[in-house]
Amino acid sequence: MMASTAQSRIKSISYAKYGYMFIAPFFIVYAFFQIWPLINTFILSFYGNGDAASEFVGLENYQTLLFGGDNRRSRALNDTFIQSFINTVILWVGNFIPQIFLSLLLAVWFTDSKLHIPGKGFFKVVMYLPNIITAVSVAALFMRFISNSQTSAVNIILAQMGNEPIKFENDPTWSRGIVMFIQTWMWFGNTMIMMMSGILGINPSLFEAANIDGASSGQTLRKITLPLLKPMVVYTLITSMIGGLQMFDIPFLYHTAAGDIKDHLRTVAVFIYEQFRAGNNVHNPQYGVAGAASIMLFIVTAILGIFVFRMNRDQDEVRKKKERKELVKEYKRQQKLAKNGGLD
Amino acid sequence: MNNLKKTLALMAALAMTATAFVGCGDDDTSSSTTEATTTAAEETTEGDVAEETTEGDVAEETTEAGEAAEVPALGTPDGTLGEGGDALTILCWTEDDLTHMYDVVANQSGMDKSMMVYKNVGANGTEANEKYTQMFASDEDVDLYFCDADWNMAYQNNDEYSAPLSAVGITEDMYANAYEYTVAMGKDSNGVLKGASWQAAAGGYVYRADLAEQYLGITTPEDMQAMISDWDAFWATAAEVYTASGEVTAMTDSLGGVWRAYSNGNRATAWVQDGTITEDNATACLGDFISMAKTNYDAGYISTATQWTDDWLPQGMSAGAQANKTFGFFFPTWAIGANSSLEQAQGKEGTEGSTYGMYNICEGPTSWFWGGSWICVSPKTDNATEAGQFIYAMTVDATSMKAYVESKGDFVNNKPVMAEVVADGTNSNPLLGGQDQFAVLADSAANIDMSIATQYDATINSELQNAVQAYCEGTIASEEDCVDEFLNKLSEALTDVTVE
Repeated sequence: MMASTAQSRIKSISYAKYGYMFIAPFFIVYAFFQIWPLINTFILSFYGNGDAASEFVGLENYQTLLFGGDNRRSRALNDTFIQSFINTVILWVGNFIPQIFLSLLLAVWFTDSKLHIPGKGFFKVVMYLPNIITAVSVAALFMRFISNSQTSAVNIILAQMGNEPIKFENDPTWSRGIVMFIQTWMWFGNTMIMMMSGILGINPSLFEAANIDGASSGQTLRKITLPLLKPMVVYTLITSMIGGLQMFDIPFLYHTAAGDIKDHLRTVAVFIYEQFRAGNNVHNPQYGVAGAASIMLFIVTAILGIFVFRMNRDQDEVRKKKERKELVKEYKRQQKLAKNGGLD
Repeated sequence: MNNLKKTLALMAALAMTATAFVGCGDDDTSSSTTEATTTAAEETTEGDVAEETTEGDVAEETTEAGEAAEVPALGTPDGTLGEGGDALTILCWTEDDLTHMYDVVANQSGMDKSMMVYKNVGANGTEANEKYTQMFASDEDVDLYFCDADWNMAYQNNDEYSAPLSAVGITEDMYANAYEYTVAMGKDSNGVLKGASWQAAAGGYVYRADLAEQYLGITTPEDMQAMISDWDAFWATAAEVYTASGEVTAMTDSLGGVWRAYSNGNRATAWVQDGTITEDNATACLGDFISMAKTNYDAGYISTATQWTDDWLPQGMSAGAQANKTFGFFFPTWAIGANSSLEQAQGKEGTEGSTYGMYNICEGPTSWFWGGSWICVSPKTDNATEAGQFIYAMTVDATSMKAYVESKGDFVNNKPVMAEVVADGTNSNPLLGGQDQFAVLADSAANIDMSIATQYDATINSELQNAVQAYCEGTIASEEDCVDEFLNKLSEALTDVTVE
């Protein structure tokens, strides 16, 4: 009798609640600092700006940003927002394409067993280094190197060669090019490491077989490496796109006169930042406009993410899944028929 | 045993949660602020430091310069603000003035010098304004704070940020000797006195005396003034300088400097009227500034450097990448005393290219002013008595204000004191080769009119300078586009003003 009560007691002890207790802190913090701000951004985007922050305005902020309006403020906000979107896309595309090419090339070289590159580890570290420096320091470095300032290195060299100094930040082509370069330079090491891990994940016997069959390295690259690397490229594309659409630090910091953001470098994230702390208006920030822009950025990112993901799904896998579904359907139908037939 | 385990688990969980929330608490030092206590060696100031003002009748509203009106002694706080804090914390964006104030205040009021502590937000202009807001939002201990003329109204009009000066025993009748505009600017929209200024920021044109002699054959500030007595003459002289220097030396340091002189000297109406900025009014306020700026910028008479960037001040030296790029600067009083922008522009005495003491000052093409600082009291102060003592010593008491003139070389907000200093003729500014800048600027200071200032001027000034800079540099094509760009940016930044 004693044993049975003890047994039943043991059965009733559940350790699950301790588990919940241990993971609770994370969820509490997450809800407080992640979920609530997200929801709050949504709510704020339906309210007014400045002194009218408590006034519900519905979709007015969205309308202003997307279509403008009949007063100067709406038109100006609309122009700036659209321009900032275009800038963001230009800056992202301009840094992603060279970045993926460069890192793919380096990854292929570094993983090729036929090439014996000395000091691989050293190069990997050196190429990854720019990513470790904070964006603030990188911007400061480049400000001293090439910027509006007549005392920046490039302008001093130009002056010594007898040329007029160039205001690099003012020129859309130059400044965008520089920002793209900085972004590429900062991130290609990171992408390269990812590509390398992708390539090293490919079964080496495939390369060996290709080698034995006499495939050239170009053929190996095109027929084996690239197709099998696709998931990794898609992953990089999606993470880079999410990061790129939210690009803030370098375009914001690459300005000699703080606060004077150039129209051709203003990204959506910079626009959002400017709106909720705009200039003299620190006393009544424009949360409504900033919130609406954030939500739109979120929606665009989500749509693009899903689109890219669907585009790049493994087509064989999709077809197989479909076939399996068809088969199951067919089987069920036949069963049903058989059942019905049986009844008949 | 089970209970112990449970308790331990719960405690561990709580500890984790607690540490996760630690970031929310208010730190007493934010990373962007630097705190320091006074460590400067005791300096002896001239004159009797005992309180010499006596209770008297309210002085006449206006007094002729030189005739000192009697001012009442410091009153007692009315009890609405806190008392008994152990440090008088002063929020500022530069401690250059403050370090000179400690002795002056300590000698006048008998307050212990170590009581006074400053917090420097480490930023200029609009950025400093933002940092202030953050400081207030984070409930930091702030008793007094300095406000720039561009944005003091925004603070004074907000009861959350500023308390009436009467709460610390300061009344309007104490300012019978002050420059009128400083009192007018110190009031909020209901006419309550909330800020007091220790300086009058009249501006002048500070130029390289050595270059003037070399290029123009001019040796005295009076002759120089005759050459640049109005804007037309100014730009004509600029052409001479530019040609004589082999197209190196611009007449003036930056577009921003020209705009300060022009806007506060030639503008006749307020930017914002009835809560709106109309295009017509904006055009009226701008006058011919944009075309004047563009013409002279293109001609090379205005330097391409931007104020407050690395390129700006080194132009004042005679060596380095920016050597001799400018003939002179538009500087107000606070930029030509000790530890000032002018001192930085000249470089350290004895170093290569230093132009220390090679400058002179004259009034320039227009009588103008730039900025000025107001002291405001935070409603959350815990040192009402000391706050009152500080303001009284710096802005009311004649003896201590004179001591401050001698220490810092600033143009103080007290007409009789300044008249006395000028009459004494003892002031000799080493940065200006011994010239007395007060004698030059005394008249300008008396003429400053700030009745057209609005609390939006900071934003307006910075957006305008950005737009005009862009136009001059060629990124904006035409003058209409420039005005349009300026108004567009303004409409985005100001929510409570309609920009048409």
